[in-house]
Amino acid sequence: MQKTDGNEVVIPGAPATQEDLTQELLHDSLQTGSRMRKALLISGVLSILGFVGLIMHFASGSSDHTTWNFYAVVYFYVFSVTMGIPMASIGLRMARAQWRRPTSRSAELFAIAGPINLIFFIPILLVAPPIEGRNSLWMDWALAPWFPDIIMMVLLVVTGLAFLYVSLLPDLASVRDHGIGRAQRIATILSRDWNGTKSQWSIHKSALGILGAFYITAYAMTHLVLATDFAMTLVPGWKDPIFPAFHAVTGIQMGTALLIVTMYLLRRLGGFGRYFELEQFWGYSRLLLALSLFYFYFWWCAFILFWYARLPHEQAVVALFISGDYADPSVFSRPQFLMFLGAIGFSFFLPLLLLMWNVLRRSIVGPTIVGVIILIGGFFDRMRLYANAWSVDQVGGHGLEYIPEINAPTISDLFVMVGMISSILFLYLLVSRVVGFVSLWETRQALLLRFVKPWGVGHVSVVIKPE
Amino acid sequence: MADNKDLMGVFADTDTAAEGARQLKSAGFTSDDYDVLTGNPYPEGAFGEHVKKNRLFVFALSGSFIGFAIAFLFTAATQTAFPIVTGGKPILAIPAMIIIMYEMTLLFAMIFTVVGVIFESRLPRPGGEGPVYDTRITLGYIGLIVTTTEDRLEKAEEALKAAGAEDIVRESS
Repeated sequence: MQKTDGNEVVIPGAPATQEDLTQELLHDSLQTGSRMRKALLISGVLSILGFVGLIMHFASGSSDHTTWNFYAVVYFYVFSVTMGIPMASIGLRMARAQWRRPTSRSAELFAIAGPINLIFFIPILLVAPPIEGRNSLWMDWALAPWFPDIIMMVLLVVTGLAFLYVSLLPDLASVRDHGIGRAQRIATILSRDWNGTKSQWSIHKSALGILGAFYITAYAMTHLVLATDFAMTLVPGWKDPIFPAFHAVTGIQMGTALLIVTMYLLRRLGGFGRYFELEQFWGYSRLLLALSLFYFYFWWCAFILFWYARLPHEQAVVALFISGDYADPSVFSRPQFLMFLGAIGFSFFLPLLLLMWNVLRRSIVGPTIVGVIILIGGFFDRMRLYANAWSVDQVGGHGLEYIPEINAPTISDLFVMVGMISSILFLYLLVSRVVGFVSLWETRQALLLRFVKPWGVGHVSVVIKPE
Repeated sequence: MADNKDLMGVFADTDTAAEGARQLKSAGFTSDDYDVLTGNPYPEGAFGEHVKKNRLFVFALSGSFIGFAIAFLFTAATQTAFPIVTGGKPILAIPAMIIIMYEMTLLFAMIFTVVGVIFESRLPRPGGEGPVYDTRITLGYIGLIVTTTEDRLEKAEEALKAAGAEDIVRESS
């Protein structure tokens, strides 16, 4: 119960008191039940498959990058999704959206995927063809592309982890003071002398702002560098300044989609219904609708230039990524066209057709279904881009001279995909055993700043904005 | 000062903690004499305390300058050491160097910011123990820490008790 001018009212969707909040988020949610143990065990074991797949790939040769095309698809899909999720949280935090508070932790925890992304990035660097003879950002610099690309990846990963650590500090102190067992020991080491003094909170607030801004800038630049070095410059004649922006925005779209699906799973399987309420799903569904419109906007801006210009090398790029080889009379037997249909259908048309209805947008199941659709569409999109770009074996020249055959995915690609996703899930669940899926300090602050007041014949929520 | 001692009043809610701050001021303590410990952030000055401006931006700025300088020297040195003219562009081609300089500027700014968080927040606190502490703070309680001379501790304790402090925690001597 929360006292408001003598009227005792219950805040819907939130635990009644600070003590209840502490009990639920600090004690109950940190218990590792049998279901969690199973999930940890299965994901841990499946993680090994990723490394097995990697070894199998190297065993079958690394001199021909075209045989690694589906490895690139898998890598850039997982990278885009997992590194895009913290963006959704950081952006909303900067916009001071109060409703996102219970969801911040589950979004920011995905920064833990950074080291996995970094490990699986190394084969991409080793296998990608050298920049000699290709157009590149680097003016034939001897250290390119490996040096700037690895620095960019390290920057993004470490910034994500630093942001996560700072965000976790107050909750680590809570676990240090009231947790038990191994979680408490880890929290004691990590929280150090965090006492919650005014100056510590002041620094905490500034640090989240500064590191959040760094993450956003690093995220945009990483997409620029990776999308250019490992997609655009592999295809002679593909010169598209909009593509890196498209790559970054679709990453945020897929990240937001995965966050909604994660919220739904935590609600259904983890008992977090109080925290992932209609308000949160509704908020993210609006963001998802906007991002789906952006998908089309960026794709269209790039496409229209190529389509209007119709120079031979531009027609080749349209054929490679959209229409497929014009020599094939049936468009539906062209794999490129089917990939494109899957990408635009699942990333734009279906989300738009579903999310345009407020009744679906303002629900819990609606945005979740759209989230799953977008995750499928995102995979088609990365397949459209990377399976095709990495199938090109032509080096140099003003334009693509022929549309290459696409190497089919192998069992090692499947292993890498299962392994990468499992290892990220394993780390995500493991870290959640120390700090939980919901931020205690942010939810506690939300409880403190939110009141339900009588208004007319009903009640309204009043949110205090401290600044 | 060296002979100052800490004493903390533990309050169960915001209203009584705010009353505690008022009582301290009535008893002659200034906003510099006490600090507030909370388990979640409150608006700055919510308890009338003085909050010093943090210097985190100095760390971020210093890091960014250092990163920029290193990146500039590094790219310039490697390109002049292996001069290759590409597409008629100058050896030191700024547009290509900008990306490296951007990366290194951001990387060093980020590292310095993290160092700044650890240093400015005193994580860990150099020279041993920090202020008095009570684990109820992370349960949502509010602590008002008064740092004063030994002869004024009684007065502070009376003020905090009068405001409804649930407990008084003293610095172990």
